[in-house]
Parts: sequence; C-alpha cells; structure tokens
Amino acid sequence: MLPETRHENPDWLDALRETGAEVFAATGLPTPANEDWKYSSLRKYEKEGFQISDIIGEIDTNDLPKKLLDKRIVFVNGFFQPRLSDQVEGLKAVSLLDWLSNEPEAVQENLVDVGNLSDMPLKAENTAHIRDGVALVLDAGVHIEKPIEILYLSTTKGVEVKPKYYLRNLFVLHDGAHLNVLENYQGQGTYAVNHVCDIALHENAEFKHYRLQNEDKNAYHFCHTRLMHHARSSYETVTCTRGACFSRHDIQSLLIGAEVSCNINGLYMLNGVQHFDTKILADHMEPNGVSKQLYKGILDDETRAVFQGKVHVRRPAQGTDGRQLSHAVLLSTAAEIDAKPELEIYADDVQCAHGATSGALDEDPLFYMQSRGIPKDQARRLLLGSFLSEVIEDIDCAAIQSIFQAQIDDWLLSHQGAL
Amino acid sequence: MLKIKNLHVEIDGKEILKGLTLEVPKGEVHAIMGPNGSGKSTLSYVVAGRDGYEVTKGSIEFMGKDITEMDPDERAALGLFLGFQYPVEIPGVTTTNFLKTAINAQRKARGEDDISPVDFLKLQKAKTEQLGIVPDMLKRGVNVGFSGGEKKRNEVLQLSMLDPKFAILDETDSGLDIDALKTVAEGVNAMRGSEKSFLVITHYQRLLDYIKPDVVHVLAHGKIQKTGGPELAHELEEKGYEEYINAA
Repeated sequence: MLPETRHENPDWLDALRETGAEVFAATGLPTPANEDWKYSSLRKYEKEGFQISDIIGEIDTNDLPKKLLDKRIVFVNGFFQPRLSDQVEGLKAVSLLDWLSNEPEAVQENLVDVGNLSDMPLKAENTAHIRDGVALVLDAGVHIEKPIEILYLSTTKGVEVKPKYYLRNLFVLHDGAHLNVLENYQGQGTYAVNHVCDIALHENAEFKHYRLQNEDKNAYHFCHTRLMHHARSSYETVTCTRGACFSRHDIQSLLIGAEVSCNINGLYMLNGVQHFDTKILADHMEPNGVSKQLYKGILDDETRAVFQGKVHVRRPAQGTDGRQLSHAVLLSTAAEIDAKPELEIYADDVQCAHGATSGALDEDPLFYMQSRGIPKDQARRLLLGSFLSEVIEDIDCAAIQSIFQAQIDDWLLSHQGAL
Repeated sequence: MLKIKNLHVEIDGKEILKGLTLEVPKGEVHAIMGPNGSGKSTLSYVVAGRDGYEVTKGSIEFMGKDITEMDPDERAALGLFLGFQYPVEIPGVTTTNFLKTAINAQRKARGEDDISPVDFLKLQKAKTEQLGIVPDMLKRGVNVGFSGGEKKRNEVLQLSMLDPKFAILDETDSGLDIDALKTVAEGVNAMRGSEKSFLVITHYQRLLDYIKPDVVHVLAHGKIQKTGGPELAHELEEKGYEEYINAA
C-alpha cells in the first residue's frame, strides 16, 4: 500500500536520482580500503542480500511503539503516515512528498546541493532512491520549543524479501526559527535502512536534535547527516545508540557562518555482536565558532565501536573553540573501541582540544561503594549510569533528558546478569 | 564485637599478615599503631572484604558471625564501616545520591523499608551542619575536586549517616590540618557509646589526643607485637617504632 504520489516527478529530481545512481554504480559499497571505512566492513551486510521494497503492511496505532512525547509524526518503511501522525502547528511541511507537491522549487533549492557524492557512496545510493522522508520546514521566526517525536518504524511484515528502506530527510529552519525534535528509529526483523538528513540552519536558527536509535538487533542502520550552519545559528544533537547489529552514522557539520555553536554528542550501549561506527566532521570556515563533540559508550561481549571525529579549522576561522572527546568502558575483553580524534588547524588564534580514553570499569570506586553497603551489581549500574549521564546532563529539555535516562536505566537493568 | 583469630593474609602470593589476633569488644575504642609497611591498611581492607586479599588461615568474626567469606556490602549491612585513608572519587554520582543509595541498600539487606525522602534530608542536614560541611559539596560528585580535608570530612559524614556498629578509621588523620582533625574527631566522639566500637589505625599519636582510645596495639611484621593502654601511644611517640622494626 503506497501513499498516493500527488506530484509527478519533476525533471530535476529525476536527474538528481540518476546522478546518485551513476555515482553509486561507479563507487559501489565502501570497503575498509577507504580511509573513512577503515574499521567497518560491509561484507556481512552485502551477504544479507537486501532488496528495495515498497510494501507497507497494514499498520495501525496498536502496532506502534509507545509514544514518547506529546506530538508524534510517523513514518513506516520510509513513507509518511498521516493517519498515524499528530498535527503540529507551525510547520510548513511534514513530509518530502508533501512539500514537493506544494513548493517544488523550495525543495529543489534545499535538495540539490548534495555535496560530493563520490565520497559518500551510501548517500549516493540513497539519492538514487529518493522517495519520501521527513521534511520539517519552519518559516523565519517560528518557534517550536516543545519537542516533537518523529518515529521511523521499519517492519518486515508482509514483505517477502529482506527489505531495504531509504529516507531522505530535510530540516529547514529559516532565520531565527527554533525547533526541538526527537527522532526515534525502531523496527522488527532483518532489514536495512538508509537515512540521509540535510539540515539548513539559517541565521540565528536554533535546532535541538535528539536521536534514539533502537532498531531491531538484526537490522542495519545507516545515517548520513549534513548540516549547513549559517551565522549565529546553534545546533545541539545527542544520539543514543542501542539498536541494530550494524550502524554507521556520518555527521558533516559545515560552519559556513560566523559565531555558530555546534554540539554533537552521543552515548551508546552495545552488547552481543553489535557494531557502531560514528564519523564526525566539524568544518569551521568562519570566525568565532564553537564546536563540541562528546561520545561515551559501554561495550560488552564482542561488540565494536568506532569514533572518528575531526575538527577542521580553516584559515579565516579565527577564535574557534573546538573540542572532541571519546570515552568508552569495555566490559569484556573481546570488545573493541577504535577512536581516532583528529584536529586540522590552519588558523592561529584558536582553542582546540581532543582526547580519547577506554578501559575496564575501575575497581576502586566499586569496592568503595560496596564497603558502604551497595551490592556490586548495583554499584556497577550506578557507575556506568553516571558515566553515560554526563552526555545528557546539559540537555535543558526535561522530557528529552528523562527519555534518554530511561534508555540508560533500561539497558543497564536488562544487562544485570551480564554485568 | 570483632574477633580476629590467627589471621594470615596474602596479596599476590606475598604474606602480609602473619597470624594476627585481635579482639575489640562492644563499646571500646582500640587504636592500631605501627610503622609503614606493617600491614595496617591490609588489616583494614581485609576486614572490609576487599578482593585480592586472600585469607590463607584464620578467621574474622563480627557480631558472632564468621564474615571471612562475605562480600563487602554484606559486611556493611551487618554494621561494619571502613573510613578510607584515600577516599575514592566517583564522578557523576552526587554525594547525596550516594548516601541515599547506600542507606537504602543496607536497609534492604536487613529487610527494612527505604528511608523516607524527608527523613533522609533531615538526617543529612543535621549531620552536615554538625561536621561543618557546605551543602554544595553534597551536590558534587562523591569526592570529586574535594580537598584532602573535605574528603575526610565526607568519610565522617558517611560514617555518621550510615551509623554502623563498628568503624575502622584508616589513617583518618593523614592530610588533615588541625582544625579539620578536631572536626573529624568531634564527629567520631559524638558517635561513641556503649553500643559502638572503633578501630583507629594511625601512624602518629596526634589523632589519639582527640579520639582517646581504650586500648592501643602495636602492629609490626604482620602481627600485634604489644598491647597496652593509652600510655603506649605516648611511649611510641617518644621512642618511635625502632624497637619493633628491628624485632624481626
């Protein structure tokens, strides 16, 4: 059951898809020979033999996970579901198909600048298959401070192949607009999902962007985010990762305006054979920008996490403050973290710092807590919980903070035996 | 209350305690003094139940129960407390949260209900005022960024809030200036009574001017070498530990 396409495909979109297809045909899937993919192999993913699927089984409200916030926008298998979604005031558009039928020129303006696709094979593949996705567009000065949940549900219900879904997401905040969003990735079964997210923050715009990646443990999750930061705009993102057997998250933040603020943070909790790879670029092009990255995670069993973060400070970007930190706790000797923080600086008047730590849980605090009567498993939970909570302690939206806290608590409790 | 019999303890195959026998009855304050490397801290850790300290012979009995094989938290719930020589930092866990978690964990182990939030806050307020602890400290991560004196005050705060039957104070005087030492000693003295016992471990006699012991033991070469009254501490202060160090 496909939603009706109310708009015929404009020529520019067909051309864009074709470009994506051509580039992807030439590059193929990235391999570890590609520096960006040094620590992550897609061989297992390739063997799964995922196929493009347009099928959306009968989904009603009862099939959806619990609503996390007051307002929710729902996508199932890559397509917007107005029937299952709440109305949100202040939005010019909600889905790409919607927006395309109302303002194709505006969509074109925001979609065509895709960057160099040959460096981003999975984005090229996504571009070849642009259909629907979320498109939240806020006019200048519109403030949506109350967080909105966007649920991306992927199912294999009624699908005979191992399905592969593509979403093309756009967030456009015009001058001075404010938006607060929680993207919630959920699903059941063995599927792959490829999200591409383009964000335009015009002058003085403020975007609080939270993500909860809780895909099925058999799923593959790819997400490529590209952020255009105009002057004095501010961006704060926290991604909580606990799902998928393989996930890869690319974030390119282009600080093209002066005095922007960009916080990219993440926490992850992995067990079994999960593999989670994050690659971040903060590219400072103009003066007095602040960018911070903090990633913290817990790895159990045979899991592996990769953190490649880079702060690039170009010559005009004087007064830049760039920081990146990666901290990981390894609960098993078979778990692995590869952290590669990088600084590349061409301006002289900057403050930049980076660091990475990894290790087992410290025994001293454990004994200290036990000596006060706290049983070892509870002491471990408390220590691990507080380790992760640092990532969420600066979130000023209480609703979002408590959602993340609940995820941490839930994961730690469900691993009580293993801890 | 605490009975240690012929205790032999090894760390990484090296014997540190070599047949230590010690009894601290209810209501008494005992001091253990000894030179560096005599096994003082080992004694405190092994009584508290730290991993890595292997009891090869002998036993530790507390409140009539053999605790030699018990986990540290089980010992704590029975009413045993160790004040650390070097209190540990726990980033991200506030002192208040830590205290509440510890109190409730002990209550749970004893089959009691959680302390009510109101009672907890009342207790905390009373004890922090008594010890001259600024409320801001309670909101910070346990011992994170605390000075040496603040850490020791925090130990005594935990001691007085957890209200154990028996407390070991391991070199509580180290790193304290005289004012902090007095405050800490007052906190301990306020808890003394016929139902509580203390084992004060120290290298110097100074602390014992403020926490007056009933009995003083000299520990050297992994054994109690001598036991006496408070005058023994003064004797040690004058003569030093030489006679015990050379005894072996």
